[in-house]
Amino acid sequence: MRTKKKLAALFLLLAMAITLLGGCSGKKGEEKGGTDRQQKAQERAGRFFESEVGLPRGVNIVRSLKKLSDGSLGAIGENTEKREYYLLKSNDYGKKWKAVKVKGLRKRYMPCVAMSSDGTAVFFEYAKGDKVKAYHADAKGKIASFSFAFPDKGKNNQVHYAAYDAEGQLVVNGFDGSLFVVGKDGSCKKPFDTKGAAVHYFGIAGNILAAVHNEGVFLFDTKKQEVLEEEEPLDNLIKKEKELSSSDTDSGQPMVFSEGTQEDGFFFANKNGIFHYTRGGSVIEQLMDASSASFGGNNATYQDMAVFDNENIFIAGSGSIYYYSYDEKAASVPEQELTVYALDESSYLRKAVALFQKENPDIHVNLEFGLSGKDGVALEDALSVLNTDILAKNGPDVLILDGMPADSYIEKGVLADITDVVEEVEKEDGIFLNIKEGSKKDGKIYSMPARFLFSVVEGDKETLNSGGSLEKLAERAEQLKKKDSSSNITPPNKGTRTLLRDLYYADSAAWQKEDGSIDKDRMEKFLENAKRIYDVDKADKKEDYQDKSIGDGTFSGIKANTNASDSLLGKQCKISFGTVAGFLGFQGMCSTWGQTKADYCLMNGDTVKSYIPYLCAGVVAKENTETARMFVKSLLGKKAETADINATTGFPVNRAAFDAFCKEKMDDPHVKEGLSMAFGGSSDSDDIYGYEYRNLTQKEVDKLTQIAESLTEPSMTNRVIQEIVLGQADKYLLGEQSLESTVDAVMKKVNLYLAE
Amino acid sequence: MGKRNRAGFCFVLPSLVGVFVFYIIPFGDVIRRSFMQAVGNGFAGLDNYRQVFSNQAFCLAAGNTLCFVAVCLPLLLVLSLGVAVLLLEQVKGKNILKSTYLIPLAIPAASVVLLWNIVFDQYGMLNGIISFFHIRGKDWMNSGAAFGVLVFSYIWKNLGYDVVLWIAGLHGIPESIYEAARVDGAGALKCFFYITLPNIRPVAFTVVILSFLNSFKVFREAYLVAGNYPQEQIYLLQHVFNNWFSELSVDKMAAGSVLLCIVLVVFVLLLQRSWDKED
Repeated sequence: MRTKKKLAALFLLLAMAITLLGGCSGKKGEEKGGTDRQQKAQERAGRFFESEVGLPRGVNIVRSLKKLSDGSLGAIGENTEKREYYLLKSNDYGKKWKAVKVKGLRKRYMPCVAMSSDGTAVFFEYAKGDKVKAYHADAKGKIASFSFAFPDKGKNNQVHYAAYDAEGQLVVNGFDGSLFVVGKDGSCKKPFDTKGAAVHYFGIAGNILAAVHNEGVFLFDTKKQEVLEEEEPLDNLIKKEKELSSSDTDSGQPMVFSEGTQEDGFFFANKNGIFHYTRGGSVIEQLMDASSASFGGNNATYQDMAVFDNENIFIAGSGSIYYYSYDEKAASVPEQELTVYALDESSYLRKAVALFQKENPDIHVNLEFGLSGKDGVALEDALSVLNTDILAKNGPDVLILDGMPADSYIEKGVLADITDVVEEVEKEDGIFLNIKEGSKKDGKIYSMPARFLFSVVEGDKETLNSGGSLEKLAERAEQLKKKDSSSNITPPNKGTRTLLRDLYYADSAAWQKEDGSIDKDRMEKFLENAKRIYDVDKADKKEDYQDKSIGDGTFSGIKANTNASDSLLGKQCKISFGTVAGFLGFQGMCSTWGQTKADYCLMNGDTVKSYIPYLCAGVVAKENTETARMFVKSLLGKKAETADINATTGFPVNRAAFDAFCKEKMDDPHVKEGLSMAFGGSSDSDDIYGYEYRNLTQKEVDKLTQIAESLTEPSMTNRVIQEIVLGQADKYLLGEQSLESTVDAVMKKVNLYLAE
Repeated sequence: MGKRNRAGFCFVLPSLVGVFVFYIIPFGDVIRRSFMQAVGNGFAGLDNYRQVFSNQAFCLAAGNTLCFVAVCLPLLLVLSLGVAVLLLEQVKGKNILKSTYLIPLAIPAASVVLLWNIVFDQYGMLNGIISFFHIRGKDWMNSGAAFGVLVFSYIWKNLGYDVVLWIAGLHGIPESIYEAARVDGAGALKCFFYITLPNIRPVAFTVVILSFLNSFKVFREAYLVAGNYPQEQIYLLQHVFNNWFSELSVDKMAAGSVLLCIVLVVFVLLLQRSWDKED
């Protein structure tokens, strides 16, 4: 007996040891996944491909999407500038649209809209008092108003979401979590028992209503008006990813639903992909992974979804319509895999990946973002994970090096030389040679920005004469303040951090010595000038709203201008400065000059002509870098560089793309449609300012091109140094420490960093 | 191996396997990496060690760490022993005091950091209090005072733990020895130096080693309060290692770790040897 016990104990110990050691052996999970992927690919064929559906002229976003009863694709479009609504219809999957303007709703904001399968639509206004006013629009765009009151009177009787079922019944979800049916006469009834739970949003798939609440999904049959059995897989989905039940956005829902081809089945899409679920089933089938689609991302929200059959799916998200078509001949899972890693979310990168996938259907691209912003991962944590993967030879194939220790990676041989890739792009489309030269390290290119931004000073002629150096700019600001002490001279939205960041981007390239260290005197001058500029309107500076909302100008993966033309237009300042984030921003700035009589110059251009490199791509040195090189070439290519239809997110480094944008902006179709911008004045006044976008003139394009060609030095984008400088400078500007101790602290910390 | 030894070995085996898998084998890899280039399989010889020795940041951090240990360790040992001896005397409310000393140990690092920020910030509580006495406050975490704050934090956090260890040791000394000494006319001081100190030597070894190792954990608070690049006097070895990893300087990190390990092992061995000698 004792021997048996001993043997059993030994056996258990052995098993434990083998299990422990087993965990360290063999290939990594993802590599195994890769093998499985290839096996599966050989076994099955067919997968979805994405393309973006163009919208008709005058419509810039889509609010609702529906497969109409006559088999066409229907949508509600909006011109957000003019606040005009359109009923759209297409018989060829969005290649051509028939647009009918909804009459009588111009300049009225409709927070919620819905389309019925007969092509009619409903528009809801914000409730005033107990009543909600709504408008039925027939297929010809003629409206008839009606109003209704929420069945449960409460404080939040605003319509959050509405949709029609297959029978034409209008179901409404209020911000109070209620769910009810609104009749054509405005009568309301509550046929759905939500067991007291607040419904955050819902979707209708034929006659199945899926109402998302905190703990899962209620299903109802809208035709029979009865509760359907709870589906565990759907409930688990919500329990596992709580953000899918969130409804704290008016830009869309985290999930959208559409009817399937089977009676009991339906489709839905969320940040993870497109799925199909059959009621009573135990598994949710994933049709497409969001990593290879434009609609993915943690912050993604959607307006609607329309499924024609199992092979043609449309999703409306971020204002655009994406079409997913099934190619039965393509391998179900591409044989090759490519991982692209970036720290920050970027809509531009998502589009570039979708474009690359479309052109290379045999390559699956995993797009990973290290700092999603929702899971509390700090920069150091993200870099640690990335470095561990690189050391384990399980790292990404392409790195978007913004915010990463690029110099260290180059020094350690992590990055491959991509000079040949850049030269190929240069040969095909041309490239800004100054930026190519600025990207070289020891004569080779390891990292090349796809886009770039630069800083400008905007104001009157005398201001522009001073914009060439920070010292003169400070002098000019002080001079203007002396003349008119009651007015703001610098933009009011620039708190310490925003102001410092703008000046840092324009000046930091001048401090960097050849050995990478910092020129103490120049940095000290920078601090002095920043303080002088800040002190001009010190008394009027409130909280740094801009830093809190958009930081360095990046918002939800899109770059925005930090230059404040709107403040200049609103007479809230006399000098504006900051970055220009792309053609749309540049066009907006030029469009205000009709009223402000201002002009612009490169900020600090007499000291250093610097640019901010953005989306710096590098290829990780591995045995086979061919696919990664192909991706970088595609990223730098004209197609990807012009894929950003709004022309935001920096200026393209690709010369052909830059010229194409210049040409387009000189004869902009949006201008013909009357694209305009309106915004409020200061918080103390009710004044509304606005401007109409206009075409760029040849002179403006020439000046822009000349400036872009003159930029020679990339500003210091190393996040560690930037954070050290801005952190200490912030205290100096606020008067918490002297110049001497600020310079001393910065130098000590930066030297420590460099000494490491 | 005898039957008894075999059974003992079986009991030790699981933890031994754990130590091997999670410590010894990875450390073997660290030693290997200290002779290799950061990425790839290129042999670097002693280059990494040369780089570490010539690295100013490493030298500064090593100096600071050494200074920190040299100041903190004796201070903590003396203070905790003093408190333990006092608590063994008939002090009123000693049980409550004992528990009070242990509270800092139970406070999570994140809360300690919050406390630090509230107390030691330029506009924090401490400066507020001393301003009542017309003393000008300072930015405690960004001036030379940061080292003192770190020492204080270490003592505050570990005092209770060491007190408990000392008390356990003090309880092991038979009361009869003290009684005999008192009969012979020995006073409290003589009892302490000639009975207490020699009898707590075995416990002292454990307390010194544990306090020494705990001194390396203070990095956590320093990092959370002051980030990667704190005031230079509280820039410790762990800051260097952490930053090197962020920069993928695994080669230097491995060499630095091996050097640190050698220092620790030598310190422990020397300590043990001196203990054995005196025994």
